[in-house]
Amino acid sequence: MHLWLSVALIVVGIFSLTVGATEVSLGSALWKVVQGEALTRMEAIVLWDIRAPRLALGLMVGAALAMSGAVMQGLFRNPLADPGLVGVSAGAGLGAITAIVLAGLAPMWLALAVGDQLVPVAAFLGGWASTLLLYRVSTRRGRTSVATMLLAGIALGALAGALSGVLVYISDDRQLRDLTFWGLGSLGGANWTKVLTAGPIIMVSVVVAASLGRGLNGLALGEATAAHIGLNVQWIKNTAILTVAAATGAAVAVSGGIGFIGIVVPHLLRLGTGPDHRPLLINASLLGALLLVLADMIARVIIAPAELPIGIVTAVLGAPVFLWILLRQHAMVDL
Amino acid sequence: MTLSVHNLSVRYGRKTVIDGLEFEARPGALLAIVGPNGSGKSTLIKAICGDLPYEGSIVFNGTEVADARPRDLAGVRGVLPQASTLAFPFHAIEVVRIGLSSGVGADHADRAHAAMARVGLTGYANRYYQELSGGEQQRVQLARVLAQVWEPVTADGPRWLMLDEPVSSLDIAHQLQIMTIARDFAQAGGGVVAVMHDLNLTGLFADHVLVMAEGQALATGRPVDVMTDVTLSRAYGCDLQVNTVPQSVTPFVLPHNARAAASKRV
Ligand SMILES: Nc1ncnc2c1ncn2[C@@H]1O[C@H](COP(=O)(O)OP(=O)(O)OP(=O)(O)O)[C@@H](O)[C@H]1O
Ligand SMILES: [Mg+2]
Repeated sequence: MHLWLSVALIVVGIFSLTVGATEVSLGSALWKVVQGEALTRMEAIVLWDIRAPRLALGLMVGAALAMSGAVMQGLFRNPLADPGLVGVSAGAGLGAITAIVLAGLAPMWLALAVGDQLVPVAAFLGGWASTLLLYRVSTRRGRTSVATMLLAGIALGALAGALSGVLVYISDDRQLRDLTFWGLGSLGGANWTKVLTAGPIIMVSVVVAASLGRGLNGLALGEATAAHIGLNVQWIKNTAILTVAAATGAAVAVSGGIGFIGIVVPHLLRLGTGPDHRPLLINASLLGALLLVLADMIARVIIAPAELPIGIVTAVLGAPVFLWILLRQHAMVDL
Repeated sequence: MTLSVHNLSVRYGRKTVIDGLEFEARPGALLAIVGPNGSGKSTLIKAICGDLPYEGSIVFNGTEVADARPRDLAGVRGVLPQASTLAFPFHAIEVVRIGLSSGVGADHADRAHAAMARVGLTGYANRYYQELSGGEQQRVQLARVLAQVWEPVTADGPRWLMLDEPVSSLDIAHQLQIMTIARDFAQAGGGVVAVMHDLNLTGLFADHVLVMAEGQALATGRPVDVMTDVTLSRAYGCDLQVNTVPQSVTPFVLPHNARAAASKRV
């Protein structure tokens, strides 16, 4: 399964480099490189500055969201959990909206320091702030209650939503448009700066999270039994929460709100290869990367030369597939 | 290598559930804990297994349980909780294997199958756990615990089974099968602590009995000494009559005047 997904990922990845609004062919460009000819300026820019970072970002964001979804489902022992449950999405959304609407008020030094990356930085910080707050609320004497975290997350989400509402209310038309598009998600702003800042965070989190397989399998038997069989339950929780907050925070910061990957991908894989988290976590990051790059290709070509927000594509494709899977299943999902 | 509990108190919030409990359990014997609902049996097992904060001391395997690492404890004792849950649709055999996953005996892949066979579930390996009957699920959990502490004695000393109502949903044949496994484990030198509601099985299989009532030890000792009309009737708050199986010292228990009690309700 790992192997098949990896092969598919490479094929789709190469293919995605060849697809786009301009007629630049990867084949002819590669041929030129092989022959030692110089690329045209156009080819260089399109391939290296636009499509390559976009592909890299798509791979990372997809892997981050799907892996985070699988980890959250394991942690909350619930197939419907998604990365948003640790508060990242709500906080990141609020951070992004704040940055979009109040950017004009930011002091000069701040504007200089972060430049045009103000929105991603604010989203990332917002995501982290809310995760830490949730963690704090649900942890007593060194033990984190995931049930409390779930409930507090709902409250925090409502609060962040209300604050965002206030900001939406005072925003002007252009800002309103910006933040609507932010909420729908896009890889359109991909560049190497984003890849190089979000990349390491996501890579490290995904690799660390991949090691949680055994721990999450143990948690499936309940927290008490997980401890009885020798697992350090609090360490598993901490690692899960931190990696998900980091990976999702970084992913949301650079790509906006992209839904459904985190729920659909692990669910599909569980139907195929069972609930064992050891293969599941790795497969989820591979399939997530694959599907997101595919979705991004569709987003780029379907109304070319314009582009659809990728969140729309993942929802339009993901939701019906998800419903179809649920319909086809003999047994109802047991929570 | 004993389990010794001194002046143990356990609270849930402000409610004291175990209050100054003292007892000792030795490997090589099966200790049954009996007592009415809510008397603190499960709480005691949880405290012994390191699940709950407590006051007093529980020294297990030479260390205070509160200071022990889950991993070290997992190497010397397996725990069957009173109720088990499972979050995702794993196969029965996977549930048993997860119990081995933290390193204890993880290299013995065939042990999971052997444990399933021990509890009479050969051929159930690839059934979905959630689609098994209540008793079958309980036996899968038992197989998981047995696989974890497979040898009753290792080079590092004896191992223990902590069983909270191991036969509560089993038919009579499987009750005997599981209790026999537990007794064999003890006779081979391992330790067994089992919470029991069936007093007759307790009389048949236990080497020692701890009778609990309201968080305290009402009596401890051999079944023949502890399981008396007076002690049991006091513990459970109803009239119980203890008899002895002919030509043995094995006690068996009947509700006093059972017939009269039943006919009165009609
Ligand atoms: N998590 C908890 N919070 C508060 N009180 C609890 C909790 N768990 C148990 N109790 C209370 O502690 C007392 C002892 O419970 P425990 O589960 O140890 O009883 P038990 O002897 O195992 O009973 P049973 O035979 O019904 O299993 C009961 O009064 C119960 O209501
Ligand atoms: Mg109990």
